[in-house]
Amino acid sequence: ADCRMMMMMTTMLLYGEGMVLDPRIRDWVLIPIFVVKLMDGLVRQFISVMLKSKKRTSKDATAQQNTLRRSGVFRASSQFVPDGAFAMRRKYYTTKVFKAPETSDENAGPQAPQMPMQDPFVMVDMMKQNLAMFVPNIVFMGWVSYFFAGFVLMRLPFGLSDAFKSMFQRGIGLQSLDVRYVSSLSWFFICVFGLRGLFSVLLGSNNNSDETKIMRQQMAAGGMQQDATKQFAAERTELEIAQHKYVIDQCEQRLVDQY
Amino acid sequence: KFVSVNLNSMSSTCQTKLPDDPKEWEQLTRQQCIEILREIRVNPVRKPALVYFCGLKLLNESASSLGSEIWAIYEQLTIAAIDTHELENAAYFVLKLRSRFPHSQRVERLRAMIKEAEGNFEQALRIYRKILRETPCDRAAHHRIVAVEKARGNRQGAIELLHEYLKVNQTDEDSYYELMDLYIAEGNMRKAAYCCEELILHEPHNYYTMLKYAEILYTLGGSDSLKLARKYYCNSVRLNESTANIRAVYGLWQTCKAIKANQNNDKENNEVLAWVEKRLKALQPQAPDVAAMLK
Repeated sequence: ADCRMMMMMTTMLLYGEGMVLDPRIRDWVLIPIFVVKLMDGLVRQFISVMLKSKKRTSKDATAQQNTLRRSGVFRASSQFVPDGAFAMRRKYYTTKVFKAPETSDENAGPQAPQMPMQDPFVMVDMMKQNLAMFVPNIVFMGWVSYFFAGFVLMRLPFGLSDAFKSMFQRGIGLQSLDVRYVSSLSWFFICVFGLRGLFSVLLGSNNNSDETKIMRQQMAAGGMQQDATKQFAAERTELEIAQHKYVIDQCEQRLVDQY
Repeated sequence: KFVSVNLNSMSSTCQTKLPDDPKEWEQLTRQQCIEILREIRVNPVRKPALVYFCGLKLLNESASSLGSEIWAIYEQLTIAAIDTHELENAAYFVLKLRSRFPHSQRVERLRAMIKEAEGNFEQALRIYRKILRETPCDRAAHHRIVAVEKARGNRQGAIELLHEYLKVNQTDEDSYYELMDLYIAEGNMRKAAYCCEELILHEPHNYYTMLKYAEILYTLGGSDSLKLARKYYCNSVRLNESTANIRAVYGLWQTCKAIKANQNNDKENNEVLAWVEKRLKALQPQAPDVAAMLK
């Protein structure tokens, strides 16, 4: 039956009419894959909401981040503050806050709280979570390529170059078939990427149904949580080389000249 | 919002004009009321009578058609009712909020604020400490405890609490502003100057912070401070040249006179003094009282 359908399709193609596909394909493949992917995204979102625990920010971590931010603000706007204030603050920051470790012992510096990226147990936990996010996708891919293989699903409304043939026409053995006719696995991937937009409308923009976005966010967060000791050391060197450019000094002259 | 003047409201301008004259309020339509309340939520200003009026009007006329916005309006109304001392209505609003959000800390905070307004400081403190036990980094609860201490007249206690809080949250501008006010009330000008410097570092182009710093320096006295004060007054005038900032011009005038009293021959000072007097004369139509002092 498959072969016969194929022959029929090829002949129609050769006559340049374009292929007419069995509407049962639409009912039994197109819509089910779409629905399954939609449900998958919704289920992910609700599970993540259920599993989310209340965030507990540790006081030490916030204190250190705030100190760094404050010192950054100080360096940025130090030109508006008189000399005495600048000198006092600089001395305070370099000696008290960002203390250089007197001995070579690393622990003499500020006690870096256990950042999630360094704690081994939490790391393993997060990796397991990441893996769990991809498992449904792998399962679905296998399901689609097992059940829905070997036939043309649809015609893409846009044209592509022939290089994409091997990717989009996985189970179909025809060499000369137009790239626009794709298999069901490609429809699956189109759903994966296309439903992101739909989810942002349905669930609000901050939804958890997009696993690649979540991965990217976690990488960015992991990059930021560096060792506090290193940040402190960097801040200390910055402060030591900072110079005080006092802008307010010529204020009176400028005022009188301006008017 | 209770404790400190919101610095943003000083320097930013509202998108829609808020009707200040109570006579205009009668003509406000339902849509205008909603927009006014939204505007105040986004750019917070303290106008309790207006908020109370608009909110009650909306509740009485079209409560059901507001949808889920009604809860935000309830919250605004509660705070406005506390401000205008309509405590029974405030308690009613909190009851409605509590029925909708039973375990919410925000609602608990509102409840505690009502207790504060009634004068039950102990109960209010108990609620705030309970909130802090659950979320130790809750900014609003910290602020309210400081406000309670301030209301009781315990300025030293309030200062110590703010110190503790600022050790962790060092970038909280409103807290620095409040600490500065407390130090000024205590008369401790050096520490007030320190807080003001922090504020300047955070917002270098805010004319009001410059003005406050100049005033603190002027109060400190001493020729160095006076010279610095003069500089900062000049900066404040440059940042805001409208008549809203005539306070800076007046302060500049006083500082120049004070410096002149010590050193009559400082050329720069005389120049600035001449400029100030010319400016005050020019501003006479808008500010006749100040200009009258020139004579």
